Amino acid sequence: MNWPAFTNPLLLAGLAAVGLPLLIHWLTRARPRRIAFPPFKFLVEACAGQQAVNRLRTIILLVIRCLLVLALALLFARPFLKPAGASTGPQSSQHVVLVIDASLSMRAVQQGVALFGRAQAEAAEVLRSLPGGSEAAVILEGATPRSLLPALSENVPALHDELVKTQPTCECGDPAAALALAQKILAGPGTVYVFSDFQKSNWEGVKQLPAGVICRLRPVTAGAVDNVAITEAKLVPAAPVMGEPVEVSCTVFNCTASPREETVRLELGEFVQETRVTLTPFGTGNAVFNISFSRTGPVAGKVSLSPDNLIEDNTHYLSANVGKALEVVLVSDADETDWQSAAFYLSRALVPSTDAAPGLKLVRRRSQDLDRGVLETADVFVLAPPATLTGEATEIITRRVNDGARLITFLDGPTAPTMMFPMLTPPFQLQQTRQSEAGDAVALGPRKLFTELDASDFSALRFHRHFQTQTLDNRSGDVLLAYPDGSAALTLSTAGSGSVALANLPLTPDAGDFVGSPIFPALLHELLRALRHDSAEHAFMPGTAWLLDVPTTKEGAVTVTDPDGKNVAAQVIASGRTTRLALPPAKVPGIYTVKQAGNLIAYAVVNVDARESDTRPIALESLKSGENSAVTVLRGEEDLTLTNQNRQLWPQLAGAAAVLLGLEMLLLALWRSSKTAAGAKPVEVAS
Amino acid sequence: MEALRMVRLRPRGAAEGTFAGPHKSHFRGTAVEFADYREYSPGDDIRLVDWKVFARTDRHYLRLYDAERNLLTYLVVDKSGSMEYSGAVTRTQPKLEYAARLAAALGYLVLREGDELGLSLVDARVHQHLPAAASWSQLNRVLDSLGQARADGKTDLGTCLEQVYAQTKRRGVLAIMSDFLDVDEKFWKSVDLFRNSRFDVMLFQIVHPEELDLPDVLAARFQETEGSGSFNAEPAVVRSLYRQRFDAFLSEIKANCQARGCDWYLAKTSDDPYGFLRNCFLSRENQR
Repeated sequence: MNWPAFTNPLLLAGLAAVGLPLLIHWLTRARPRRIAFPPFKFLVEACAGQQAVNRLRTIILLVIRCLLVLALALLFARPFLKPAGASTGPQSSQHVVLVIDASLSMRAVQQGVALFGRAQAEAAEVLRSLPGGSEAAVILEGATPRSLLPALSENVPALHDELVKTQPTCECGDPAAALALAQKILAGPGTVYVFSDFQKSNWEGVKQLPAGVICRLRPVTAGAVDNVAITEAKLVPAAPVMGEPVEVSCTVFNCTASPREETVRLELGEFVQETRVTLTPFGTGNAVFNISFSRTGPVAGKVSLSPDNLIEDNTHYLSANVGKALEVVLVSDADETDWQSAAFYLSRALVPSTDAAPGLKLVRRRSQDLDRGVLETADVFVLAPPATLTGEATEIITRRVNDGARLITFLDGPTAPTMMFPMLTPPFQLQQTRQSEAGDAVALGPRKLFTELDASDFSALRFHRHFQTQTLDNRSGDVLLAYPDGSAALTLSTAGSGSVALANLPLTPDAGDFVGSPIFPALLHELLRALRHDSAEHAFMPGTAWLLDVPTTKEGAVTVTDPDGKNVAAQVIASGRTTRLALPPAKVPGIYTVKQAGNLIAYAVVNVDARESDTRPIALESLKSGENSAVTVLRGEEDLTLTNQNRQLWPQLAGAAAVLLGLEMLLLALWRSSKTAAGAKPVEVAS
Repeated sequence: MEALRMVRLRPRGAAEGTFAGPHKSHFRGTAVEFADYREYSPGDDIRLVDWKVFARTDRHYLRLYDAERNLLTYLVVDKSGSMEYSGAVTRTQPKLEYAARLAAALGYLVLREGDELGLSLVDARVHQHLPAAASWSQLNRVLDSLGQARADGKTDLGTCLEQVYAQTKRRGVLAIMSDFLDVDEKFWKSVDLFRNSRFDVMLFQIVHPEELDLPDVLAARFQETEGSGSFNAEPAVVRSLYRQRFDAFLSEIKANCQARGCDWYLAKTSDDPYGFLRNCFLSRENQR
């Protein structure tokens, strides 16, 4: 090690104060009066040892005080030790990029200290101790990494000032993107410091650390932070209608090593409910609330837990637009009273009775009787053969589905090709008609809607299907049920904002026992539910730009306000019955309010990413180092300083100053007490 | 002086004054109190022959009587530099002045009884020596000498006492007034000279209260009174050890006096000298 250098060398002028104790001693020393004392020799004998001791004490005190002032003066000058030759060698300046995890999990508190605050302080310490001429950059790791200054800068003090102003985000971190940005900024050899909690859920995506640089990984946690979070909450159905039973289901994750029992509280519209959920270590549990909305319109609320070390993920926000009863238009040219027609079975399966299908309003129409009013207001279109749609009806249905309506088409009979709606990009093509005497079985497709139990029910049935189909490339994921020859039996796909279900299934009694089976109405309602679910489920998270579809009229500007009541700059991308808004990345989770002309028209909720709730760290040794790179894991603060090549001496000086001060006070108290005791002794004089 | 009205100085041994007085003497004379017989030898006064004894024994015997002689009292007052001390914080009269008052009071008592009084002012040598005399004019001379005495010079009590002893003709009472800070073996040998001559020796040791307990100051530069040495000291720091030393010194003086049959009195300059003297004589009477 070399001689120490100083961060604030000007403050070395304070060393002049070392003479202060001497000056004070000289100014305040006792100026003894002269006394001609006859028993001088007895006094001399008595003082022989005491005076020497007293003089020694004075010298000791003076030395201690001088050293104390010296330590304080050096402390303010902040000395540090450089390695030998560091002052003139090429290592005197460095290229350093500090990557600070600013994701949501860094808001957690461990041992009374916020993780981000700890990372920020340590990063600031590294910046302060950089040798002169060094260039540095600081990157905040969020959903999108952000550099405080656009490039490496020699203006380290300015960078330091920017750093201390930063705050953690509520976003999900992307360490891979942050490291890539660090490497891009370095554009060559240098050192990358990473201050993070190194969540496994985020860092598993990092395939390799940057190549050609020195990586110093600094975990700011001592193990996983104990955390319990609500990782998911949803309404089923997502777009409920008034009077319909609605299930609020939420998933609670226990990121602790001990079993927990938590109270989950639902506050949604007029509903306030609580339930208990038992959680295994590092396991999840479900809490379910059953509600039914009694009025239409937008509604928002939240599901929450008691606050813990990471508060932000203890709440999950919910919103819905409660609609009127779902209007289902059944289009079929068959007589609905004809028990051999598909319409007969469909109408009874959809609405077995008034009580059995709450929230659903069935409207039956022949294809020729379809009027614009019915088509424009319907929520679900169910097309059953035989039916011959007019071009206008086809156009309206296509547009409505693109706007969010749902369509179920049964392809059974010769009119089926007219009901394929090519504009809605069906996932398969009809190849040829097929006659099967024995009927075909169906099996579950790649897309999961039914359980294995349902599959066994399906396997007992035989279907005399009408068509053999060819699934389009890359669309096999839309297949729910399939025949043995690969033909799709049932598909579910999205089209615009809406959904389309195509059923290549026979719907007449002579084409199999499907329509007579109890599984038929169940499949129909499950399909209906899936269609609604797909069309309404959106998950928005902080840090990412988002699109929001809201039902609007043509009058009045649409405004969006964040949970704090501040306006959010929303850009209208499309307008009509539904307005599509482009919103900048949300900063905070919560309920965003959408208004048009001052009237509430919708709520949108932003929730934190569930990955941030899993605080378990990755094994840093498992991270793969890049080519020509050196990776060091910094476990202690000493490592942090040493690896920075400058060893700070202020802790030692502060300790020395404290010790000297304590020593001085102790000695003073000790010696004063001994003086007092000596002076109080009574005199006995011979006479 | 009212305190001394009922007090008189009586020697522990016989008086050997020039004149007849109230004190018993070893001189045989014609006084009234019979002492002994002695065989006649030529030249004896035949008026002293006891004729009744001659009638009975046919031998000549002389009747001997104890002659009552006046008391010879020698005052030795130390006027060395150390006797100048009057305190640094607690001011009192200087030790020399206190000694002078004590000597004057003692002289008055002596002369009041018709006894003879002598005075020697000493330091390293005998400065002034007034031979013993019994007149009231002697008191005036003593007071003049005491009044003119100035404390200075070093102390050599031993030598001075030897010189005083050489000038004494008869035994009597020797009263030494000093702080005895520089007594040495020679001093005690000189005292022994007087004691061997059956002198009644009284030592009045005069100290200032601050000499017992050190001045109550934070720090001071202490100087020798009869030398040039000096050094700084904090009395609070060394008080305990100093007391031990000084107490040992006083005990040593006292022990030496007791060993020689001398009377030792410790006088503090803050005390009333006449009351102190009265107490001394009362205790002396009680010891008889």
